[in-house]
Amino acid sequence: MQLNVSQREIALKVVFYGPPLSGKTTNLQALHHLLNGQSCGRLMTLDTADDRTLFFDVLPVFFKTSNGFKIKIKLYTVPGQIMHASTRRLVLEGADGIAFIADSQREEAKANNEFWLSLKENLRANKLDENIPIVIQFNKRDMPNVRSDEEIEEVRKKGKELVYGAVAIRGEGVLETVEGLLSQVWEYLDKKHHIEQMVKITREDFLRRVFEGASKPREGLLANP
Amino acid sequence: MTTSTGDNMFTLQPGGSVLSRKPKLADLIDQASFRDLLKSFSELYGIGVKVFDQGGQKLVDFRAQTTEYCGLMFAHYETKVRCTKLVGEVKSCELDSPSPEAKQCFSGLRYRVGPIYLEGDFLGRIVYGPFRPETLLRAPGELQGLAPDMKQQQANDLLVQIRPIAERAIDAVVLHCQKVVDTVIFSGYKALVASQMHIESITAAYSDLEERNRTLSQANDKLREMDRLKSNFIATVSHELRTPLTSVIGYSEMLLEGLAGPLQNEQKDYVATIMEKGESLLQLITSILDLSKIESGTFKLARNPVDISLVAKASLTDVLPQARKKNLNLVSHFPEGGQLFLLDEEKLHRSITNLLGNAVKFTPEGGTVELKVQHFDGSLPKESGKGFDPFVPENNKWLLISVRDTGIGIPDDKLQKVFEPFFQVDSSSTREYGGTGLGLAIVRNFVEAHGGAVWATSELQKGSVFSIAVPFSCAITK
Ligand SMILES: Nc1nc2c(ncn2[C@@H]2O[C@H](COP(=O)(O)OP(=O)(O)OP(=O)(O)O)[C@@H](O)[C@H]2O)c(=O)[nH]1
Ligand SMILES: [Mg+2]
Repeated sequence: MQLNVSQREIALKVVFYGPPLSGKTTNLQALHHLLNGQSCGRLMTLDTADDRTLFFDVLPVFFKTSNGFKIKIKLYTVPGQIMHASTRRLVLEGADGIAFIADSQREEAKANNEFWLSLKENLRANKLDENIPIVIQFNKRDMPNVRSDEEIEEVRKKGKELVYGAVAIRGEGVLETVEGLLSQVWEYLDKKHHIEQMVKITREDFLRRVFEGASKPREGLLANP
Repeated sequence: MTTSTGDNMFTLQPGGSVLSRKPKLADLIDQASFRDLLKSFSELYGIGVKVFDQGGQKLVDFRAQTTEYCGLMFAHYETKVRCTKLVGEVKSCELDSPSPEAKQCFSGLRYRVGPIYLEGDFLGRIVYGPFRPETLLRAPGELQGLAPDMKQQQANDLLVQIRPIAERAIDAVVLHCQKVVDTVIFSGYKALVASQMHIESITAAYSDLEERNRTLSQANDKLREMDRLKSNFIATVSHELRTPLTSVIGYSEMLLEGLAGPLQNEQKDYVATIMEKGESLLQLITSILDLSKIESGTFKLARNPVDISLVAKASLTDVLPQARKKNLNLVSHFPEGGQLFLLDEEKLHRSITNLLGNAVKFTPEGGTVELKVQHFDGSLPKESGKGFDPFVPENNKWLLISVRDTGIGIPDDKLQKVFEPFFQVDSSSTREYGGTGLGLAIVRNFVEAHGGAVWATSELQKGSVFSIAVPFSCAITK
């Protein structure tokens, strides 16, 4: 979190982390389509010719509270390709919350696991609090040969992280994932830095402002018009 | 969390990532091209354009048509004061909404002020105008009250020279320009972030690699230390083995010489075998001891003035009995004049003896073994691994000792390996010719310790040449 008292600004950082091609960028694109254009800035993608993330994607979401405090949330994705390990660590720096985008396909279980471990390692390397909010999204629920709903229910029950299913290309589960995460981030930052007192809005208001006017997921959400 | 109280978040962490910095307008545009863009815009629509950054610094200033009319306002005290005040207001008013704001001047002209935002952060403003609205047909009457000596007619004349613009048209034009600038700014930001991230990523990858290198080199040091300890251990053990073994050999010799009473023939044979095997075991242990001394780094050269020809002759004497036994032809060549070199005599002696011993061993009955010692000036064959030094001529002068045999030869792919410890050209050669496989490894170490090189060339069934080169710089100049 970056706080600028004299300018009455607060900036939160959320990072979408996960194995190669799990749909991190797609999540951000969907979010960009679904969120209200008033509070959501341009989506910046820094990728290669074949649509692989090179450095990161970033989507800024911002609004002003009624007493004039500017709240900005920057949502980043990391590049999933193995060779970009150092960039992933760079992008993670100073994160306030993490959405771990896992690929539901069975053959991706190992990649999910490796990236989960690398996330933990990077958090340590960046000296981030180990209690930083993390939610897990099982993306690509529409694909054949994915982990079953029962298996995901297991994860939800056993782990301490919130778990969401999603079909990011249609926008399904994307808002839920982000809402779940932001809710935890707000609570976490309030516990740590008492931001509610500083900014003078409640968590409910915060979430309402971010998501007001958001549209519904739909087939062909990301298809070019 | 980073907290800052100044007016810029990133002044507090100048070294921080581009991701945590807020850029300034000037960082995001190429000023000259940005000016060109707005100039063509200003000329196309005939309105003035000014751009100010967040701190009020003017980056662009184009005027149009209104200069003379505004000049008239500036020529009278009260209107000048008002004009200055309005310009200040236009330059610094709060701009809360992203849509452009209209400002009315007492002269009847108007302004539009459009903010420049990036990710919701205010970066600066574009001031459009002043322009003459279509509805303004003559200078406002209140000017008379502000500046009584201003001539109404002159004001009107100057005003009508300005091309009027409809409000709807100006709104569309301003909106368009705002969008163009927004795109330019975003592209600039993207380029800035991409290039900065490039640098940051490479720097991060570099420090990752450095870190990894450090761990590897620590592991390497540890291994090396363990290797040294191992060699030390072997050196100690070999030494401890040698002492009792010399007794075994010594007592066998005494038995054989009949010092403990006469032996029967069969007994003599047995004791002779004990002695012979003991000798070769002793040789093996000595070699291992040498090698482990080399590996543990505890061996040192004892350099003294040496006449290499004398050393080589001594080596020839060493192998003479075996050569005679096989009826070999021993040939030797030595250089003129007894040039002295600073060398470790004992180690050189053993090295040459070793090469000669091998040559004798692998040359069949009636063959020839040739020893040649010479001063050599030029580039050594590439097998030596010593490149030619084009810049320091002295580095190309060598003392060269070569041993040629007419033996079975060594296949090309084995020529390098013969100098590795325990290597045998093929396992049958050990059985046929004996030996530990350590001799050449020791020779190599001895020679390299002198800064020299040792190598072999060979032709199968015809024979091999083993060469030792020692830098001529070891020569003692009188
Ligand atoms: N069927 C299906 N495909 C998806 C879904 N989400 C993403 N994809 C596809 O998966 C591929 C990779 O998606 P990206 O969003 O680029 O993945 P990423 O995690 O950003 O990839 P990297 O940045 O290279 O690590 C694309 O072809 C997407 O269309 C989904 O929910 N269902
Ligand atoms: Mg991506």
